Amino acid sequence: MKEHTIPVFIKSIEKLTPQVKQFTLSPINMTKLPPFSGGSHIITYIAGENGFITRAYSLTNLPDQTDSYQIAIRLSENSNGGSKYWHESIKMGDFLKISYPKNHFPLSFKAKHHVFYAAGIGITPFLSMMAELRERKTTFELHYASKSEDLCSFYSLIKENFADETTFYFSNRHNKLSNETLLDHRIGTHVYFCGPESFISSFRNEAERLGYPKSSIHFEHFAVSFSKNNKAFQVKLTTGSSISVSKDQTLLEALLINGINAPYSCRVGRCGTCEVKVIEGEIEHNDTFLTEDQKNGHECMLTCVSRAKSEKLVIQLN
Amino acid sequence: MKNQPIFVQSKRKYLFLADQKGLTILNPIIEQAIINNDSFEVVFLGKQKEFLHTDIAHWLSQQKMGTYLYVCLPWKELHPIKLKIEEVGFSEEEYQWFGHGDKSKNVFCCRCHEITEVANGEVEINCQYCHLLLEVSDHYSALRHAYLGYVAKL
Ligand code: FES
Ligand SMILES: [Zn+2]
Repeated sequence: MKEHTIPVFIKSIEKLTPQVKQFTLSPINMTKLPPFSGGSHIITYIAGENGFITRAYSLTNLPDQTDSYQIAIRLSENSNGGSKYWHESIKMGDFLKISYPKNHFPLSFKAKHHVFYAAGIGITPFLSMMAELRERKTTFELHYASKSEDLCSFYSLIKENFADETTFYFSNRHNKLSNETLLDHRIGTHVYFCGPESFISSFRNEAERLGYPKSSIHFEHFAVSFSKNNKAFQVKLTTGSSISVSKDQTLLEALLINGINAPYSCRVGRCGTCEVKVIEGEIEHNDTFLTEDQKNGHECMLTCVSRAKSEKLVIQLN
Repeated sequence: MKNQPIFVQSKRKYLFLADQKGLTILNPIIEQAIINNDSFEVVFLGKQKEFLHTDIAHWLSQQKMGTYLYVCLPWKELHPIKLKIEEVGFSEEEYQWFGHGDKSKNVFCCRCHEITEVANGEVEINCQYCHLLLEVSDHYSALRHAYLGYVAKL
């Protein structure tokens, strides 16, 4: 399966905070890029040592600004190529390919009021969502936690555009964002969480404990599979081939590099397109698509984010 | 629409909106909330209903996420209340509703576009406004919240 991509070049690079850079991507052979809805992301394809490094990033520009796209990337301490490459090697004028915008974190059309909870770089999907709601004249609020004002990406943009809707929480001022604010949302509210895994699970659990219906709770975590604890593993396909997945690679990347026609779409563990059958081995599931029962069964896995717990896996592509 | 109220576990608060008869139907659920030591509120809808509607809308709109609502009212009073409930933002996963008593039907007049309320089971009726004789069809219009009434005698 070959995905349609769009060739773009780096039009500008801006340092938002000591750790976050914003990249503006402009189209090469078209004047406009495809329009997108609030919460969309793209996949970037960067040529690396062993094939392409593919990463998902939220679009942070306004949905109706389509002469270029913007993405914001935080340099992660345990980066294995993705954010490190973006921060250290990419220059203005460089060419790369990106996917068409995908949206697996859309706004609810039923909500009477939207509340966004962001921690750190988790702010990125909310910028386009807030712009879309402003346009639709729907009410919303943002609760945004960061270490300090200096480390707070998009601080001035948010102050300028969404001051009335936003509460900032800076931990260096001992102002901590607590999940107790979930107590105050009026009926008809939908909540959206984006940030580190622990942040998301704390808010999700509390919302569920209070009795929020599942369909009113939305969340997104990128980069979940790129932790420094990742280990390399071996995969055998039922067709006979054997593939090694390095600690810096996803299983999907390894399959594709080895010329295997593995299916995929979102690459962030939400759509289920990349599901394969597991014949042998235990799985560390990192997706938000499979049910708990499916995860515990160890009979299927999503190759874009999940990895082997054991040293060896045997899988079958459908 | 469910026939029997079902207790939905682990909500921070339960609301009950009912008339006298409705309360008896919801009683097993209220008892369950009491046994569980859950917090709950009962709003009794007495006789002066018109007067109460704005208050009810206000009360509903003050509720927080995590609340679960049970409504049990005579069929013909149910519809306007349901509209309010949904307008305020309760989703299908956040409330259950039950009607009791005679189920009446709204019929939409194909000539004057007014609505006439009739007892269930009637097949021919006179439009209450233009008095045209209407045949009550099976065709329910979600837009009008009524069954379409066709000209009975062509
Ligand atoms: S590609 Fe969508 S879940 Fe893996
Ligand atoms: Zn009429």
